[in-house]
Amino acid sequence: MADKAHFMAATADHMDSLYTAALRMTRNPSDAEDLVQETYLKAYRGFDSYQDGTNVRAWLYKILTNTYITNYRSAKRRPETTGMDNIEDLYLFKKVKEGFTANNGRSAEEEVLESFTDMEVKEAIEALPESFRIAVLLSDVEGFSYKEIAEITGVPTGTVMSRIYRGRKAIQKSLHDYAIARGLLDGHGPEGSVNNQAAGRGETSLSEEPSESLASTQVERACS
Amino acid sequence: MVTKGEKQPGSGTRKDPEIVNCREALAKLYGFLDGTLTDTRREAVKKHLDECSPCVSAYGFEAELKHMLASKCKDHVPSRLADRIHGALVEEERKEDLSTKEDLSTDE
Repeated sequence: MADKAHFMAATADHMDSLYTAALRMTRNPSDAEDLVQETYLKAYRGFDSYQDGTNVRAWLYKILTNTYITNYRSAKRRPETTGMDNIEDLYLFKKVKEGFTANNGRSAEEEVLESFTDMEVKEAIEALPESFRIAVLLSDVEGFSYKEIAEITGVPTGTVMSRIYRGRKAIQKSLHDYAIARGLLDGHGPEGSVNNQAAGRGETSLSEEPSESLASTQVERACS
Repeated sequence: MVTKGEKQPGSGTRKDPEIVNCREALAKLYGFLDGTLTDTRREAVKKHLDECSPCVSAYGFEAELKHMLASKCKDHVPSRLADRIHGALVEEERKEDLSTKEDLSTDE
């Protein structure tokens, strides 16, 4: 068994970010605490098999993710199909360009992005279906590469990319709804008012088809 | 707008054929931000961004958004949890010591 001091020296710095990930995964502080404790115990027991010099952080996240999937994911998983499948690329950016209501000299993009609270950002991430939530969390919050996420979650890199791209678009839609609710953006655009009620409540519905190209006709028009 | 394959003044002998347009630049946005483009592609996208403010604006927004998600999604381990984990590890170490001693006594 591993030396406890050696183990803690290698892993203690990651406790905050593991707890953050555990909260987003379980969406429940009590489960998150149990999940992090279980992750540390498993890691400690397996520390001998961990090779010094390899990525300890990715190793810890792999244990966390597998433990979550095995023991904590809710028994009644909500279906991950249809509903918000056709969110266009650069969704929030375009909505900000179209519907910014204030005019006080600051850039609309800056003002809208700064307006979101920690609570709203956390809710927007937590509203994603599980596989998308984990992919976006590991990528955008924890900063892992596609390849590392593929190793942590045990799915192919292409699937990881698709989940991240689609998850990001769904988050942008939730954030857009918050900005409308706050009166920062005008919600009367062609599709602005659709699904406003969906923000932050329950899981966003997404299917796992490949993402369409990121190319965007509107911005392209603006460019040419 | 510069389109792929269009000759630029003085570019006839350049080895870099990758001139990207807006559609291609936007299609590579996440690859660029997530650091998965090859050096050649990355340079080609950068070159496009040098010349195209709408694309710069879109890239800047997505980069800021990504940064915002990370910075507004942090939590700190409650001290009681850190204590619990330390306690659980001490207990685990104690059990390990006991079983090692038992192993030694059965060996004797």
